[in-house]
Amino acid sequence: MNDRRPGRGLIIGLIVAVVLAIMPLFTMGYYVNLLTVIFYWIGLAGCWNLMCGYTGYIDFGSAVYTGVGSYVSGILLVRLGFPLPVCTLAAGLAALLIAVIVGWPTLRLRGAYFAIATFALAEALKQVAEEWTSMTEGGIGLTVTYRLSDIDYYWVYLGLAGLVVGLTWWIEHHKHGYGLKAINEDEEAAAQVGVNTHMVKLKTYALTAFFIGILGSLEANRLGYFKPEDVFDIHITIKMVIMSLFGGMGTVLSPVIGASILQIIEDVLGAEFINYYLVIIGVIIVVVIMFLPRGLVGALSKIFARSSRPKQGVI
Amino acid sequence: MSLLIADSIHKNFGALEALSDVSFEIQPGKILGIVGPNGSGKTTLFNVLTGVYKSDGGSVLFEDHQITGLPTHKICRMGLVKTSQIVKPFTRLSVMENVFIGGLYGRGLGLNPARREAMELLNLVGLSEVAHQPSGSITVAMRRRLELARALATGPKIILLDENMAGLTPVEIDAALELLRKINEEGIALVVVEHIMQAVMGISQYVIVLDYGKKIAEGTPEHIVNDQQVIKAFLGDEYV
Repeated sequence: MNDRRPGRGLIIGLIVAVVLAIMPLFTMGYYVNLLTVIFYWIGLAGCWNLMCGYTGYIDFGSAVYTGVGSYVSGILLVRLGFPLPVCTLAAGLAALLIAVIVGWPTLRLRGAYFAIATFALAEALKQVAEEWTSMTEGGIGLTVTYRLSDIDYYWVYLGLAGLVVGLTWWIEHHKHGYGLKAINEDEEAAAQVGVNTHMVKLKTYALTAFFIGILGSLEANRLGYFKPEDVFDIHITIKMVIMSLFGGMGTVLSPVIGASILQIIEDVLGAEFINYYLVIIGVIIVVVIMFLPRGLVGALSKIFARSSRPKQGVI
Repeated sequence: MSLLIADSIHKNFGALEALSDVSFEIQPGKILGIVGPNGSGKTTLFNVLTGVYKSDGGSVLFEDHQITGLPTHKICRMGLVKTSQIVKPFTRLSVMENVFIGGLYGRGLGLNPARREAMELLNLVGLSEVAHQPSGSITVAMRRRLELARALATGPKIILLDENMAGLTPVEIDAALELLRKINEEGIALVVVEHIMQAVMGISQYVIVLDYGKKIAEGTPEHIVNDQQVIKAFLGDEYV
């Protein structure tokens, strides 16, 4: 059973990706924009889920890496005139480097300590960006003049979201994924069967920071203008957490489902009830967490498991 | 050459001396029993040997390598593993995957060899029928055998068994002892910590006795059961 499912999932995933890839050739405007934003969030929530959903470590400072990504690429682009791909890659690598430096000591801390340490770092770096005006323009904000076309962002984000989801799928089925799951269940027991728990966590953290840095860099570029409080915003982290929780932590599809549904809800409600939509989203999240603690993916797979169990009994 | 030499191990928890000057050694392929009343330091000793706790003195030599202070996963990969008194399977993974992780990480096997190895080990410990069930759903007796299979998957030269027979029925204990003998015949040394005296005495070639963190006696099983100090520690002064 375990060996058959991925094959089918891969085919469905590829079909969906191809359909999405050719879609903007037929429709334009609102839907392309909405999907672009959804892909961006699938990428971010996918990174958060890969690290935190699989290991159980809660990172409250993921905005560190969108912020670092935005500023590294923004500064390289505006001040040194490097081409965008170079700037974006540099942004990813800078995020990765910081993740290694931060993760090395903090990933030995369990639970709330790791969350607090990462949260504090995001706030600290926001202050650095505020004060270091010669580089960042501080609170005035950095304006990026070079920009791709909307449809290019659509494709790039689709590719990145697909890459993050594909990578999660690959990891889930290989050695590294089993290491992550073992850590999530019982770190001491994992070490006792030979898992280098610190290294497995650190590698995952650095890898996800790399992708968050790249996404942050591109998003800053897409928006064209940003301030420290935009890119180091705790709300970015919270949204990644909520989307992962909503979908159900620690599965390949949870960030896809969580990000898609929440972003659509946010878009619709934001247009219709501009004053209340955060309240409504809050209620939806509370309901999901109370009644579907394993998220939508968890609830759905439970229903499927229940409907397929009698059949297995007959065979 | 001794496989494992623990030399004068000390471990304190605050003012409490959990282990004080404990030394022992074990030859390759042998079975060593460790007995002692509750709280005598048996589990602490295992945790120091496998790097879960840092010792406050003394050294551990494994195959002539200093392993004092090494992290648990490195000690495991060198061939020294323990099973826990409180069974801790990865409950959301299947029985097979639990063992499979041991092969992947402990021995560095590839996916397919680790899977084959896991199935063989489950066959050895008699769990092949529940291989694909979630490990949270099997009985305690099965979990104890799963712990053993998971330890074996890491390719150990020595397994430290921390009350691997606790909570089993007499029939299950006999089966467990049979299994341990079979594993030992493969050349794997065992250190058996157990409350059930007959079990330890029956299987061990050499026994050490701990009481309040100190080694109070050592010798062959026949020697130990007649030792005055041991009788005092276990039964009280009036039985001496």
